[in-house]
Formats: sequence, structure tokens, C-alpha cells
Amino acid sequence: MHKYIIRRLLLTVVVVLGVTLLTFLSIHLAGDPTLFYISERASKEERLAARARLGFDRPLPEQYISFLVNLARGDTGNSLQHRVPAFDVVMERMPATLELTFGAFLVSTVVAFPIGVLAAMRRGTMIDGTLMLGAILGQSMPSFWLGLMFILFFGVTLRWMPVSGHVAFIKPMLEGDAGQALANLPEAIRYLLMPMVAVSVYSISRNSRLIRSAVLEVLRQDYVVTARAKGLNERTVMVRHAIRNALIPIVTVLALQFAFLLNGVIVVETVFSWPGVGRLIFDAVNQRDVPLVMTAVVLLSFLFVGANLVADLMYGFLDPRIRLE
Amino acid sequence: MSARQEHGPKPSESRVPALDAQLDALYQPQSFTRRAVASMLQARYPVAALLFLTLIALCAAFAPQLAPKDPNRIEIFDTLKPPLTYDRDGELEYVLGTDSTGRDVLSRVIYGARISFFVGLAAVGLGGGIGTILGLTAGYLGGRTDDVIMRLADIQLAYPFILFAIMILTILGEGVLNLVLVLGIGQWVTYARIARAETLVQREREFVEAVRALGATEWRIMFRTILPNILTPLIVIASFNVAGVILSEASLSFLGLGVPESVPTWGAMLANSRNQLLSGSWWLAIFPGLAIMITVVSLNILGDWLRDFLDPRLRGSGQGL
Repeated sequence: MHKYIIRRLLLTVVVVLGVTLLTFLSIHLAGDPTLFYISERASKEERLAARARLGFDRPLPEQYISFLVNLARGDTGNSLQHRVPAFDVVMERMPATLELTFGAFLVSTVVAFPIGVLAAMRRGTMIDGTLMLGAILGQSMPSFWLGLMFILFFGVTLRWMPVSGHVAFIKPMLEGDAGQALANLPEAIRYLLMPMVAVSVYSISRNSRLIRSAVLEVLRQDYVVTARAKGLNERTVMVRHAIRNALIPIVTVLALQFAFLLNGVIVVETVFSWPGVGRLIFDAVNQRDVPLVMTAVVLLSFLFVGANLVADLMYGFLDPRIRLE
Repeated sequence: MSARQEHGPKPSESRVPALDAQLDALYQPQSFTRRAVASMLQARYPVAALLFLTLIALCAAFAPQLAPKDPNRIEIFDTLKPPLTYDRDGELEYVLGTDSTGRDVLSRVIYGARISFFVGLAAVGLGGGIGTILGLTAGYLGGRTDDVIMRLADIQLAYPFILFAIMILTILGEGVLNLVLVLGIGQWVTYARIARAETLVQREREFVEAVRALGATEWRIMFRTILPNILTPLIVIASFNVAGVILSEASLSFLGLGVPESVPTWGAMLANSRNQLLSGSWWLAIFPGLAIMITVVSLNILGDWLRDFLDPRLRGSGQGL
């Protein structure tokens, strides 16, 4: 087990290295980043001086290696646009993105579960049909369009909800100010609600379909028949025998869902002017802010790979028959 | 009569004519098309989906003939007209209204179908092609090749797609082909994984052994013997994937990363609608979104049906949707 975790962590490092290399190469292939940080009329000497000052005059392999070495020391370099450490710039925005992602993750899991189980238990009935038709519809709407519809309906027409903005919750928490965080909570949720639901509708639909088929699969098994035959009530059969075993495939898919959610989050952030990393990365790439892009990509891919690792470990935990080696 | 003979001797001749008729029906060999049509009619939803898709595909193909106006024609005196606006002669002029520069929404929605369809099909073709070849190669050759290809897949999976798209499209610049390239590359992993898994199963089968014994080249075994046998799940995935790619294309266009402003796309129309929402110009946000939704729902329903029809085994495997 420990061996497995260590091997997985090493693999994680390889994967994140691959991601950084890919990012590094593509941003440099796009032309000299120096040009974004000097005036158009700069002379050749000025350009060369600026390039040396920003460190872009060194050979690419050297730049890449020095980025990695500094990263290992916890130094991400200064953002070229903001002139402060790139790590700080990303972390300033990360909490808002995490609030949205975790919120959507929570909602999509909690809501999808009863839908999927109910549809499986009432297989072939009207309830099942309606729920699954709803799920197909939910999977067919772009999250950003849902966001726009929410703004139009709940924000503009009914005036129930704020159409943009953000109240911080995770950030005061990280700063150790739990009192402030709790005081912010009601407002934070109010601002979070529309973007969170917009992001999660796709996942709710997808998850509920998967949960339905996972439960159906299990309900066919002999041990469920046995459980029913020995006279257990339906509730016990479902909870103790069916759902518990259906959890294994479900958990894997849920963790992989994280990646999907993050994609949606970055788009929906634009709809609601959410102060997350989405817009930040967009601007950073446009401005060829190399340190900032690299830092953001490293942090996000760790988040990604981390979620997948958790899924794998949960797998072994939920089903002791699976030995991770 | 001859059809029955092809399928072996007639089943038991019972004395019950009704049963005989039923058995006969069971033994009636049916063509693939006929079975497909029957299964589709029975499921009902796919018929509607197919009708909608045909309609939208026709819009895409005949946009210049169908669109009432030039989609890029700016009418500064007709900005933000609501749907069902009549002109002075009492003729219906703007069925779905106009946007903030007076462009006809209906014409833009019709033209928008072109990009969505083209990008959806082309990107799935590209990604599916690359993924299938790589997956087949990895599964068949194994060893070092397999390791390299699958690690590449891991890296791709760890790279949030949207970041990848932002990076590449910012660098390559806007354009339909760049969009196809990025979306295509974004899809290959799914196909590679399935193709690899299926190849691992198929390459151990006897007919592969037989073909090899006959002296076929590795190349021939891979592409003529194994490939046709792993295609079904890949086709099913591709049918869902077109829907997913159309959604992604809309997201990228919404972020302003897709095609030049002069090409009308549903996603870009929605991006422009955002600033008009607060003033209540609902039609700008509703119609392009509905177009996306109807297209994608239809593709998803058709994909569901195709999966059940071609390969019921895939049901619940988590693939596709």
C-alpha cells in the first residue's frame, strides 16, 4: 500500500513535469515574450537589455531547468505584470475558484445521489423516465448559457439574486480569521448560488445517470437476491447491500469529475465576473506572463492529479478486495 | 423461402399455426437497416432527435439560401429590436429580433449551425483517428511504445482542457482549423484508452492467430484484422463526443477564443448577449442557447440509442456521457 502511494506520487511528479514542459514550450513557441514588456519603438539595444533583465536571453533548456530548480525551492519568480511573486498572485485568486469548484462538486454529488438511486429503484416507471430525460437535457446545456439564463431570470427579471460579485469565505479561513469567515458565510452562499448551480447541472445529470446504472448493475447480483430472499426489508437491501457496492465505480467517476468541473468553472467565472483564476490565466497567457502562467498551471495540475489519486485510494478503501500495488 | 434455408433448417413444425407464424417471424433474417429503423421507431425519441438534426444540418448546408438576411449586415437604425418586429409595410422583418448592432438574430443562428456542425464532426474525426491509431498501436505492440503513449495520455488528462485550449488558441490565433486542432487533440485520450483496452482483448483471439499463421504483416493484422473488430465501441463514443465537442466549441467561442468575429457562432452570440442582459434583451441570450441545446440533446439521444442498438454492453460503463 505504501509502495503504491509512493509510486503514484512519483508518477504524479512525472505527469506534472510533462504538463509544465508542454506549457513552457508552447508559450515560448509563440514568439519572444520580451516584446510584451517593452515599447514598440524600443531600439535593438533596449530590447536586448530587457530580454536579459527578464532572463529570456538564456537558452530555453536552461530557463526551464532554472524554473524547476526554483520551484523546488518554493520560488516561482515574480509575475511580469504584477511585479510580485507569481505564487502570491495565483493564491490571491485561487480561493474563489476553489469555493466554486468544491461547491459545485458537493452539489453535484449530493443532488445526483438520490436521483440516481431513485431512478434505479423505480426502473422503467414514469419517475425513472422523467428523471433520465431531465438528465439528458441537463447534459445538453452549456453551463455558461445556464448562467446567463439565471442572470436573466433570477437576477434581472425577479431581482432575487445578485448578478455578479463575490464574498470571500475560504480566504479569511486561510488567514486564520474563522470568525470573519463564518460572518461572511450567508452572503458568500448567496453570491455563490447561481454560478455554483450553473456549473453543477451538467455534473448532476451525468452523475445521476452513472449512479443509476451502477446501482442497477449491483441489483442484478446474486447477493442482492439472497438478501431479499432471506427477508431483509427493501431499505436494508438497498443501503447495506446495493448502494454500498455500487459506491466503488461511483467514487472513481466522481473524482474524475473534478477535472470536468474545473473546466466549467473557468468559463462560468467569466459569466459572473467571479474573481477566480480563470480570467487570471487568460490574461496571463495573453500577456505572455511566463512565471504566472507556469505557476498557475503547476498548481492546477497538482489539484487535478491529487483528486485522481484520492479516487484511487478510496477505491482500495471501499473495496478491500482491490489490493493496490 | 431461400432466406430461411440460409439460416439452417426450419424449427420444429408445431401444430399450432399461431406459434408457427411467430417462429417464422423470429427466423426472418432482417437487414441491418431494417433492424435499425425498427429499433428507432420503437424507442420514439431518436426519431424526433434525427428529425431535429436533419433540420439543423439543412440549416448549416443551405444557410445562404435559408437566412432571411446577411448575418453580418449592420443596421444602425434597427438595433436591439425584439423578436417579431414588423417593418413599416406590415411585413415580418426580424423574426428573432436584432442584436446591439442591428444584425438579424435568426440569420446568425442559422449560420451558426455551420461552425458547430463542421467543428463537431471534424474535431471528432481528428481526435478519434489519432486516438484509435495510438491506442491500437499501444495495445498491439505493448512494451515501451505502450508506456510512452499511455504516459502521454496521463499528461493530457492532467492538463485541464480549458487551460490547454487557452494556451494553444492564444498562441496559434483564431481560426476554424485551429479550433478543430485543439478540440481534436483534446479528445484523443478517450479513444486511445478504449482502442487499447479492446485491442488487448482482440489480439489474443484465435482469428488473429490464424491470420498471423497465414503470414500477414503486423501492419495488416493491426489495421485489417483487429481494427474492424474494435470499431463498435469507438463509434458509439464518437456519437456522444460530437455533442461534447459542440458544447466545448461553444464555450471557447464564448470566451472569445474561437473564430474571427465575422463568423457567426452560437457561443460568440451568447458572449455578446451578456452585456445586453441587464437591459432586458432576453432574445439575444435565449435563441442561440436553445439552438445549442436542441442540437446537443438530439445528438445525446441519438447516441444513447446507437449505444443500445450497437453495443448494449457499454451501457453504464461510464463511457460517452
